[in-house]
Amino acid sequence: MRLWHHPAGSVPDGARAGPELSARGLSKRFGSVTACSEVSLDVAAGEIVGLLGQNGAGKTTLMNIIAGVERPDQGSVTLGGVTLPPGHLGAARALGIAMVHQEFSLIDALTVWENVALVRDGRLSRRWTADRIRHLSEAFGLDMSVHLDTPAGQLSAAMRQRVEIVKCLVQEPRLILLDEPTAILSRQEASRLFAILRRLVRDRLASVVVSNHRLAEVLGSTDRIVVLRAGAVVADLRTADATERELAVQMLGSDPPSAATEKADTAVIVGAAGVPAPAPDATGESRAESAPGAGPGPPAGPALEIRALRARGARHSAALDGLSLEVGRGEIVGLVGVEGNGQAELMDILGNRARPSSGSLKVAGRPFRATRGQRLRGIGIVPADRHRHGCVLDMTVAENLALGGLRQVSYGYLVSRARMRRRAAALIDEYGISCPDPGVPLRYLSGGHQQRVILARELSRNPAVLVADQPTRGLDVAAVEDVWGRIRDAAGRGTGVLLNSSDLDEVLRLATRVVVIVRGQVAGEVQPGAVNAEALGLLMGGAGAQWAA
Amino acid sequence: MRSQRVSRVILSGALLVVAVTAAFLLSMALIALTGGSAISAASAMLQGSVESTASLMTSLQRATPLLLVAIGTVVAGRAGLINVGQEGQVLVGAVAGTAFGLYVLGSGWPGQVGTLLAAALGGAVWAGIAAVLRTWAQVNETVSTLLLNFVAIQLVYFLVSQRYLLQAPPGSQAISRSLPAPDDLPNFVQGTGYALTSGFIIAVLLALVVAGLLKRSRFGFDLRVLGLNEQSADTFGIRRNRVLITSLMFSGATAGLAGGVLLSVSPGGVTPTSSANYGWDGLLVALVANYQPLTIIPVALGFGIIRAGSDFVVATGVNATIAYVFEGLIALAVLLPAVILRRQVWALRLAGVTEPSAEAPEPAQPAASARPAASSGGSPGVSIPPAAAETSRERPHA
Amino acid sequence: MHSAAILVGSGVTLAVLLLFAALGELIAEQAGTLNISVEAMMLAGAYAAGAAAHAAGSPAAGVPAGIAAGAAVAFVQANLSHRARLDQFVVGLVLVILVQGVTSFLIGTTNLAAVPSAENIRIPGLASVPVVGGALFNQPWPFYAIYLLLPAVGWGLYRTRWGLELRASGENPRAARVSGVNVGRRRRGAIYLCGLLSGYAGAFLTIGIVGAVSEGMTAGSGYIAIAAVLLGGWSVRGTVIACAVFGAVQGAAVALPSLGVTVNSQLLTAAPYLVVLALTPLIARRRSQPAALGLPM
Repeated sequence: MRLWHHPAGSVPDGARAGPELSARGLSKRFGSVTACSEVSLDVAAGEIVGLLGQNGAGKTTLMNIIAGVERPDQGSVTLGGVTLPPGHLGAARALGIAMVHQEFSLIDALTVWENVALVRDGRLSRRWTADRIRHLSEAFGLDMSVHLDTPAGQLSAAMRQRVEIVKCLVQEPRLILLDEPTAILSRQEASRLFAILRRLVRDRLASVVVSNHRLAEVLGSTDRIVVLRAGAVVADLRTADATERELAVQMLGSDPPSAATEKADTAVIVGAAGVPAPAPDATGESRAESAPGAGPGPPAGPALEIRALRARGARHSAALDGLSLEVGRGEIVGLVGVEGNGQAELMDILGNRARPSSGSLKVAGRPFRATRGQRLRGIGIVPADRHRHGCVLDMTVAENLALGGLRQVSYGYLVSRARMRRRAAALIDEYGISCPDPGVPLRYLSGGHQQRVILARELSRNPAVLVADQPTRGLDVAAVEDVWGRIRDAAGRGTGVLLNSSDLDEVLRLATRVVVIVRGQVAGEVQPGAVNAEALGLLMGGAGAQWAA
Repeated sequence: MRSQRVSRVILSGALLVVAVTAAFLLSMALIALTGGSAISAASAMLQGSVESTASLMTSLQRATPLLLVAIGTVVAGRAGLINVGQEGQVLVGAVAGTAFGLYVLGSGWPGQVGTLLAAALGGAVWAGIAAVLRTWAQVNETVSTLLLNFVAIQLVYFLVSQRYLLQAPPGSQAISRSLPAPDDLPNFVQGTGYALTSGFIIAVLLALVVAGLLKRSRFGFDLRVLGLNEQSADTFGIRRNRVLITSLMFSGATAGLAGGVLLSVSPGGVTPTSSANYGWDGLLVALVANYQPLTIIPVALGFGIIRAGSDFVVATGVNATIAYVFEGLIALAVLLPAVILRRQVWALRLAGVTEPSAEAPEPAQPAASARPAASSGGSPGVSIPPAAAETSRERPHA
Repeated sequence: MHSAAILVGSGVTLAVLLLFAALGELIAEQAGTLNISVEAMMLAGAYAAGAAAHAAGSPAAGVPAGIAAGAAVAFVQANLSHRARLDQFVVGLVLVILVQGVTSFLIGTTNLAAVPSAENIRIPGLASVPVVGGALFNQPWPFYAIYLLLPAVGWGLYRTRWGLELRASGENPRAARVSGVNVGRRRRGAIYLCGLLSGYAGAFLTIGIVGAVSEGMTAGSGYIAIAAVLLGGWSVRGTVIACAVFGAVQGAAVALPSLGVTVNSQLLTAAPYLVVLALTPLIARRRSQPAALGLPM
């Protein structure tokens, strides 16, 4: 049964001569930064091509150009022999190119069906749209068990992505572009996604280009791999011929730090250059041995003490229901749980964005005053949404480094620019932040370096506890390594770390103790050495767990 | 890049001159069309504003309340608040100052100071209503301050038409009793037929102090964080409500202060129209100056010149409302060069010539900046303004 | 009975006058633009309608003139704000000052004596309904356009693709754009519509209600229209209710004195504004505000 029809006379099939998509010499600059440099790329009909590269390598820009969202400075894109007018979204769409964006393009206030209907033309009809959604979700095994009149803003992240995908499929595209689709997915969800893509391609319905920076996933889900580095294509090979090592080398352009094999499920535990990664057991013990008196102030018990915390949840999330948790000095406590079981609320409370309804919080023995105004002394916050909650992009690097601790760079009531600059210079040095001048707005740094700024700011105040929320989300390999190293260093100096991460490998790698949160409570605790990702996933999904829709 | 910037400044200056001239000519045309004499109007304009010391002083005098209002608007604007209620705040300030001068303390310099402070307080309280509505009921301050303007007019109307309150004898008109002369602010410059109130000095000093504090004080930082990224305020321990209320009330206070100054500058009692568009024009000054505390000084002077000139033009028989026509056209004129310039800048930027970081705020325009592609997904590393020319939340930044 | 009818009648007239402009502003705000120049659009429409009716000797000439004047203001607002990307507040404010100045100047220098007024049309049968019948079906003829306009706006915003794209532009212009919506065009279109409707409201004011042209005759009605949209929670129904409330208050301000009820006149004049300020915190929920309202694309 044909699921959809392609423009007459251009049904792709294996015997078709010539590539389906052909991009030649695409270049794009933003100001003085080159995003794409003479990129050429072919995608054959019925192929899944993986675009591999670090963040900042140009993957998103390239896909935006192909999709008609961006206009290239040079070069051309041809689909099925027809050249696309550059930067013309409508034309690209008419020819059958659809894109699932990294930052979701759903509109919160509009309902699911309205969002899907937005991409089509013609008369607006709820019935027709609903039919189409049902049809596609059945055909591809997309779990769309959600009321179509739900505003998109109330959906979980995974469901939102599914709506995005349906929105894409509804356009009956010949070429589907997906920009980092697995960034927020769990392992199982990622597998499901790849299965859908396989199905699409197997039935010769479309060709797919997927961008990713996770090596293992790319190796397992594509037919061909194109590696981008600094805006240029450095490798283009069949997946079957590729090895992880070689890809890593190409991606990074040099011998990768030994942990470059990503957060893959490898049994090999490696350390970043210069920082030996101890085996989990040893970590536990050594931490206990080097019991820090090295924390700030006299050691006074746990760095963070949470008792019977209760909070009301927003939207569909579970409330906090009497959560109790302790983070000792020098410990790295990993918090894991299925999305929607209270982690977000806990992070909001610790991040000073929300107040608990009851319960107690103590940092280094001092009670947490539940006033929104004062920033809690002794807590370092690295929020998940770093642009929204973690920094002010339009302020300079120096200013961002000083925020939250202005007292340190002021004489009384007035801020001393000189002191701020000096402090910034010192931190830039210490944390390896690459920016030409501390007076540059933070906006112009890459994601990884923005995160370094945030970490520098928080860690430099020597907090008793560091709350790190998805600290490496969206970062490339080198940046991830750096963040891990900093977290370990901080723990080594006696800071207690609470790490909330949906990346189980990351948690297992870093944590000295793993705590599972289910329905707003701590459901259990495991030693990282005693369990692997699969088992942990099962624990998280144990009886009573609330699975996000 | 330096030469680019210089040529841009020259270009914008030239365009400004062209635009203002065009506005001028248009106004003259309007006068001519309705039967007046354009030539005499034009010469009257110049005569009244810049030709002599007297007229210059008058221009500065007119600029004073504008500057005061603009200072407050800038402060609130930096916090992301849009205050459009200055007109009402000026009026309430004037009335509050009058009430103080008539009922509390009358004479000498304590009276003068008290009058000014009372005026500032009046304006602050008036703006405070909107501030409270915003923090406790999430009412958009643009709307609330806007509506409060009209309430202020009625309030003042009431106060000056009741014998037992402020109304001047014989009690048939809606006008208050005037403050006796010794209560007026001393004049900084005095000559035959003209004067410059010392309010001018106060205004300029205040502008300089505020400019400094915005850049350097902790409060100034908090303000800017709130204006640029409100959601991060909690992370840095900024007391959001406190900052918002304080800055909005400060904005009202300077507007009220302008009202207080007007008491000495414009003789006679207070009427419901005493604010004479000083509030709106002061707001305009701040907008045209792109919320830059130092730029408002020359811009306020410019508008002061227009006002002084218009007064003179009216004396030649042209309808008094011509002033508003001038102002509107001039404001439009100031905006247009930015339009053309913006095209230029983008053309240069796309050609990869201009440095993205060398983005000096253009007159009357906040600089375009990019919205990063992802919030939690991490930016794609190239968070430079895309060709789609999307601007992020249009809050002015340092 | 009779006095009640007067009150209701004037209240409804004023409410509908406001509603024309408020519906226009609703469309503009649903598209994400906060359009301060409504006042300018109304005033320009009012003046143009008066001048045209006077010149042509017939009130009917006023309507197209009013609409055109409103559209002209909208043209400036739409293109300066959403093509040339100037700050929409600045543009709106400048337009208000400019239009106030120009109209005041023209009124002061030319003599627009009597402006021909529009006649009442009384719909037999319906107009006999007690209390409301007279108010709803015995009004100057420009009034009746509301019966077509109201359902048209509701249908347009929520049942058509145009409306969907408009709302998308007001909620999340970036996402809308990436979904293929031409946000700029939708926003400009919304402002044009606002101009047409507000200009019509101004014309209605001149030829249907006042019968003359005077300086600043709109007296802030444009701003009340903005307030009505806010108070009504950005929905069509809410806007209607809000306008009804304002109309009632304004109508009372006009009618009560003639009925012998003495209320402080300043209080009456200030009443609509006070009502908004008092009710808004209770009624309008910020969440229903178009997410990208007031933010440039």
